[in-house]
Amino acid sequence: MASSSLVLTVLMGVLLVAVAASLARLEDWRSYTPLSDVGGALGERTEHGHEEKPGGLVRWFTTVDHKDIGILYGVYGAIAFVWGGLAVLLMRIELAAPATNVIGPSLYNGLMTSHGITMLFLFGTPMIAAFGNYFIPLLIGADDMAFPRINAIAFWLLPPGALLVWSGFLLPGVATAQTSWTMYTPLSIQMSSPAIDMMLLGLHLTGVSATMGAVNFIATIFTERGDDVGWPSLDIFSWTMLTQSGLILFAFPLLGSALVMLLLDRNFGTTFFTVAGGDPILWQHLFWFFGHPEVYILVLPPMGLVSLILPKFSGRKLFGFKFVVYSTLAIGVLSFGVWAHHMFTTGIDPRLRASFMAVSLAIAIPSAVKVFNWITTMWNGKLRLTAPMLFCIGFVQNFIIGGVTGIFLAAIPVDLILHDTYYVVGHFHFIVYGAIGFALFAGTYYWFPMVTGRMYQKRFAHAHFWLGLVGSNLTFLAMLWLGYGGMPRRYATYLPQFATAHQIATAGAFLIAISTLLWVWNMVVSWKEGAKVDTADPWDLEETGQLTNDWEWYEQQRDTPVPATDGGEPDDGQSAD
Amino acid sequence: MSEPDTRGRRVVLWMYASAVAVSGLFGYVLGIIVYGDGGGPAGPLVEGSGAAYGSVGPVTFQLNPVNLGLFGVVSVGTLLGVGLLAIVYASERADA
Ligand code: HEM
Ligand SMILES: [Cu+2]
Repeated sequence: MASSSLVLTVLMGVLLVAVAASLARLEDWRSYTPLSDVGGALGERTEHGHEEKPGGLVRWFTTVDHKDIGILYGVYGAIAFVWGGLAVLLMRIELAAPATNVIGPSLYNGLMTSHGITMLFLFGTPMIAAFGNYFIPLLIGADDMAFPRINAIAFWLLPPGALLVWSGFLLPGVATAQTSWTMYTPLSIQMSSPAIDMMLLGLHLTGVSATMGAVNFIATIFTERGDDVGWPSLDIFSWTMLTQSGLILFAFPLLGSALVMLLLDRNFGTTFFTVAGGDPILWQHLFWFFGHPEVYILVLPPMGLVSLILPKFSGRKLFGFKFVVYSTLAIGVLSFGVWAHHMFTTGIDPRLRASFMAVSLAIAIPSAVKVFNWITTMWNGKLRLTAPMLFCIGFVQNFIIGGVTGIFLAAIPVDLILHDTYYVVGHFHFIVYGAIGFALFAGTYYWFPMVTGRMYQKRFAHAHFWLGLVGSNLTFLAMLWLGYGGMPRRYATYLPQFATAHQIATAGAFLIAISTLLWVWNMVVSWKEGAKVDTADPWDLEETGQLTNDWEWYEQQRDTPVPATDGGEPDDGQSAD
Repeated sequence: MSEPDTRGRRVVLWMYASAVAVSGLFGYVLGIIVYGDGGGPAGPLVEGSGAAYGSVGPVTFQLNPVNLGLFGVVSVGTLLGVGLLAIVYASERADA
């Protein structure tokens, strides 16, 4: 065991060095790096910045342009989404009948672990970073991210991260990691598969990546804003990304340390989290001190996307903008004070429990403020029910269900009954798929014309929405029923009486799968052959005075015959000293 | 892309109505599959026999499909209704 994991580690190291070496030889990186020094924001602009990008694949491997990196993040996130989706489809097929029929319990547990970690760390965070990278510099009038190369490094840490996280499936003869995404000790110490060690290393890499990205976003938003973008006129998406990056800065390094401690416990005989000599509950504290902020790391930027997009199709400005910003900040601060609501049943001090319950209930208030503002924006508005708008409305609807079920879980007596049942799974899926997923889809449709110069296929986009909405509600409402009925989570088999609800959930999952296929198909085909957009303002935002900087950039972009090679406007670069 | 305008109020009211309807449906099905139709024909997830009872403040009621559906409609209807009233009020104040 130990020697095989050592060999794998060495092989992986050699591979990484080989990739780096071949990249370095292929091209002269510096010739098309927009900034001449080490990527510092203060670096002087060189004429190299306007050279053509290299063609073909080399461009994508060497790019430091925030838009290219945004697209890389997006493609990466989409691939991860497909993998996580296929894993869960297999699980749902198994769950269509009570006994073990298709896959055994250990494969089920492996898929479940992979699904959770993939969706949260390899789809959610990167997909948000995709939007952040592409659009934040445009929205705030910056030439690029503050540190373009750190930006590229942060992205390129992710693919090896994914290979490590998925290693149990990729390497024949190695048992999959079956710890679930929470990696609770002592189980995660006792399971011997090297796939777990590699998964921990992979998670560590994605954490480093997220932290580098966060530093970059913070620096960019603080220092790179255009002259006309002061704090009061900073858009709402940038506010949420800024807050999210702050959360990442405090949460992910802690996860990294905890992961290293777990690795030490597994491989070097330390006893941080062992039953004898250590404290398994310490792991839960550390994990959830990261884990709860992580759920807000995932939900705040999508909330920002909705706050940005929903008004555009309501024909009016976001109602109570200031309060939406304040509630974002409030959620950011409070999210560090609620972690033990995941541990109500572990026997921690009841007085502690009560205080965590209070803060958890309090965090519902800023969330409710946001919902209030979104709906008030719509109330007196004239809505245009385009695909991005439909997804925003779906976000609000699903977020209400996810939020209300969450409030109940935050009440100790309710949680004692529902903890570790399917109710919890239903609750958080309304948020992670029904809300976060929907907002990200809204983003892909909203900016599709800007990124590709073409329009997506409307009918497929609308079918995507309706199938996704019906599918998610079927699946996740059925999970709530299962939870009330006492079905525990994380099992490949169940008692016959749970069959009906499980079958409803499986049917819903297939609707979601079909809707996702429509999305992928639409994105790929419309990118290649969709109708060209003939205006720089495909959503008629000018009419209601809502043309944001990103669309103004797009307009200039369309007007200049020279292909721009960096994040800024070609003219702009010349005039800057 | 041109889309016909839809009045925001209509959409919001539809959202309200469907939320209330879904919670009614949710309670109804809950009553069937978890509480076995109030001790009637056993639902798949029922434990023990006979009817179960629940209470909200002073009101005690049997846990069967109709009552649970009603509970869903009334509770969610009130909760979101209060929110909706607040929205209407705020809109009138702000946009007047
Ligand atoms: C409205 C505020 C929210 C409250 C009060 C709340 C409350 C809770 C509580 C108490 C639990 C623990 C249940 C248990 O294990 O017994 C939980 C689980 C969970 N929640 Fe929420 N939640 C809220 C919003 C969110 C958001 C915004 C997300 C995601 C972005 C989210 C994702 C999750 C996840 C992933 C779990 C399951 C963790 C696990 O694997 O055990 N929740 N929530
Ligand atoms: Cu939490």
